[in-house]
Amino acid sequence: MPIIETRDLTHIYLPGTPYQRRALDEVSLTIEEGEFVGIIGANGSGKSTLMQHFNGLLIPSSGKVLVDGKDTSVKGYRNELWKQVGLVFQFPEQQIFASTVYDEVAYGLKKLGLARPIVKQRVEEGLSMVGLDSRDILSLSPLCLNGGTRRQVALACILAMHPAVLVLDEPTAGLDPAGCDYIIQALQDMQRNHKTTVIMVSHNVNDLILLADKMAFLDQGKLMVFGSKTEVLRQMAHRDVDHLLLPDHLKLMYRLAAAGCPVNTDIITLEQATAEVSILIGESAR
Amino acid sequence: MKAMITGQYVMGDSVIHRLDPRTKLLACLAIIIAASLPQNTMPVLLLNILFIIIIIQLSKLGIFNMLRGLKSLRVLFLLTFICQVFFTSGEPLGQWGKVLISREGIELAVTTFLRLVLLYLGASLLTMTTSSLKLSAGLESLLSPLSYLRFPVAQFAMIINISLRFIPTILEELEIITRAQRSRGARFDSGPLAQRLKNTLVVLIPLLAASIQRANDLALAMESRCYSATNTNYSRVANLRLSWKDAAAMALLVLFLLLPALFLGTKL
Amino acid sequence: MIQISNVTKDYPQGTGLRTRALDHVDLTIEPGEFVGIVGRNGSGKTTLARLLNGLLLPSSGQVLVDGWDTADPCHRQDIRARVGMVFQNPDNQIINPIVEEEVAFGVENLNLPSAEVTRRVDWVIELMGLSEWRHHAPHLLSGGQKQRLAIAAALAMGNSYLVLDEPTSMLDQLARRDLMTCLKRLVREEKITVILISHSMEEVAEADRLIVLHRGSIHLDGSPGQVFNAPGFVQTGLKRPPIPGLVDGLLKLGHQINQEIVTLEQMVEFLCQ
Repeated sequence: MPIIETRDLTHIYLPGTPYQRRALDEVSLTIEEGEFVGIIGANGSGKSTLMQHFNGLLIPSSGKVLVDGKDTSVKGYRNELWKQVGLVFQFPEQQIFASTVYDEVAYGLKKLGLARPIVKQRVEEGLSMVGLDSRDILSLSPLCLNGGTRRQVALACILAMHPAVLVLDEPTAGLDPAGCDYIIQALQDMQRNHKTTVIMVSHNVNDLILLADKMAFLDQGKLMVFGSKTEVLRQMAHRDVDHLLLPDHLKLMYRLAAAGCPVNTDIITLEQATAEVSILIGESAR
Repeated sequence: MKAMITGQYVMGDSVIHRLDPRTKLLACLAIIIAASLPQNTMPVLLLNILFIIIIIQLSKLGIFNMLRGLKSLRVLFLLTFICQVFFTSGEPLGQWGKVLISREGIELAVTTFLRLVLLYLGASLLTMTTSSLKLSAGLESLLSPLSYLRFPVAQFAMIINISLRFIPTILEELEIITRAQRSRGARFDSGPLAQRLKNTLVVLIPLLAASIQRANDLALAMESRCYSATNTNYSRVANLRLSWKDAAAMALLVLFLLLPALFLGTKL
Repeated sequence: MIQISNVTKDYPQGTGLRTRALDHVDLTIEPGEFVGIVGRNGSGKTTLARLLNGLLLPSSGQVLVDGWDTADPCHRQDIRARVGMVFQNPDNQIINPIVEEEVAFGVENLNLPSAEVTRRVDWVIELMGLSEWRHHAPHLLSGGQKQRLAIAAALAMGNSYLVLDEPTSMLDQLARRDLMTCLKRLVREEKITVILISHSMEEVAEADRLIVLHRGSIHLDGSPGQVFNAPGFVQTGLKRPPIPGLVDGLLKLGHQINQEIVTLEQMVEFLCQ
């Protein structure tokens, strides 16, 4: 049984008013337990709306969302979903409110009703998962830390709750390369060591390509493609879709293919691209 | 959510929109006075409200949209209504045990309700037909005599300006932070009251922190654009011009709002 | 011309210690250049940006903008009218509730005649493609449009230099691309000197000149091709964008290829010959 399933999910904001807007249009996808799913889409594609359906913050205007087999439109179930599905919004450091890092990370854990020794253990675990040393940081005020560290703390808040599903919106937005690395590392650890299902919405397709098992591409509320990495990239290469969201080396392959050059567009990494271009140059030299 | 927030400026070209902001500010003041005068009885208040409705029609704002905004004040209305009805002494109409309902109580409750509606409509009319910059320019102009008393008029106007600019942004942030904290288990619509109050801190503190950061950033941006507190924005204020329409509006205002209060109030 | 001579900037810490954000930096930026500045967090990029228009003053050394010293209070307004600044958070730099009035804000602060204010506002709104949004409230604009508004508001003051401190960090890919196109146009057509600070290597690859800051000093300074392929680049903790990485890979395989190729367009052009 898939851990998350949507069937013809449609979401309309402000229905019946002149400002009505269809944010999601009959989106159907299934996500299996333990998968790493990447969702690509520009602003306005519906990705943030989709995310909020996974933990019951929003309910469908039509269609269904099933988490762990149960319908999210059931109020009782929906109100408890936050325990299983951890949502990390964009710029999560903007939600920090506590006076110490400990209190901040412990907030969700206390809401879960965990005993104090377990809370302490989870706080330390959460912080170390994001690359922070709890000894240095526990008693500091999170609002006084620098941007990248605040992001790490905010992420630790959700990771410490050990959600079965982790949903993140642009977790690396605005970070420098070192900061990105910490976050990516934490997500990989969650997937590997805790069998967490990770759903990551990102513009940073570079990272997604290396991390994700499956990818989904949303455009104006519609699910354009959903499947394994190679399937999705293959489809994106052949569609007349704006390749903007792809990394430069892939765009290069698709441009060359479109210009008639005999290159293999089924590649993913920079090394593979280099090899292809090398062959191309070699052949044209002859 | 973005486009239609009650009280937010709605772009338009009606005769009300084009009035000088100072006229509208004074009108709003007059409405506040009319709503507060104790001698204004129900018929007078109803007359005033009718006058406002005519203005709303002239402003092409849509009377139903504005009345819909009253819904957000329903708790206030209900509380004051209950207090007035049940706790005013006078000619008894009915009695339930120790609780007395009097004629005066009902009258008071209804007139209070009308006053609140008048205040709300008056204030909304002002903010919905006057852009924030015009509003602060008008305020700056009206308050300028106070500068002789060392009152920082220009800075005061800038404060109003920036506050109005950020209301929609802060509302958006509030929405996002609320959802984020709900995703961590904070409940805002159920549970013991004490817990729910604690939960509001979880939303207010980040909002406050963001506002402080914002203030810092804005200061840098304003400095970068040569803003200085001593530099009064003359062109903005100088561009305000009174016309015959403003004079006519003021005359009508005095006629319909203040005269009934002075002459008819106590008689009716 | 902007001249930074032997500038050091220290920030006091609570305990009486000081953090050195910039360490004896020398830098000259000529008019018309498109300069990219990169570096890890804490390398001093933001400090450097704020020294350029006098928001910060150096602890030692001098910053001259077209001959004016930023430390001289008499010329502060002149310098800020000359050097425009766009910040990272699109919302936190828009002060006024209507687009048109936001653009006019800076110009009005220069106490120019009304007709001149109107002329400049009209020109810059047209230039930045904001005509449709002229009378709207800023919160209705997208992130990318807000940044264009910030640029418009700065340019209306008559800047010849535009400093942008990570303007794309909070934007999506499409908005980033649009902003880059806009900046390139400003450099080519309006002859504005653009100084872009960014975390995105793909963005700064489009600049004419790339400066890498590392721990408060200038580590590398040259064309993007030179900088990305310099041996010292990796030490700074930054990652090369894909195309220079591709070029490097091809060179290692023995192919003849120009090291100055750093963008997708340049690569496509080269390969299609």
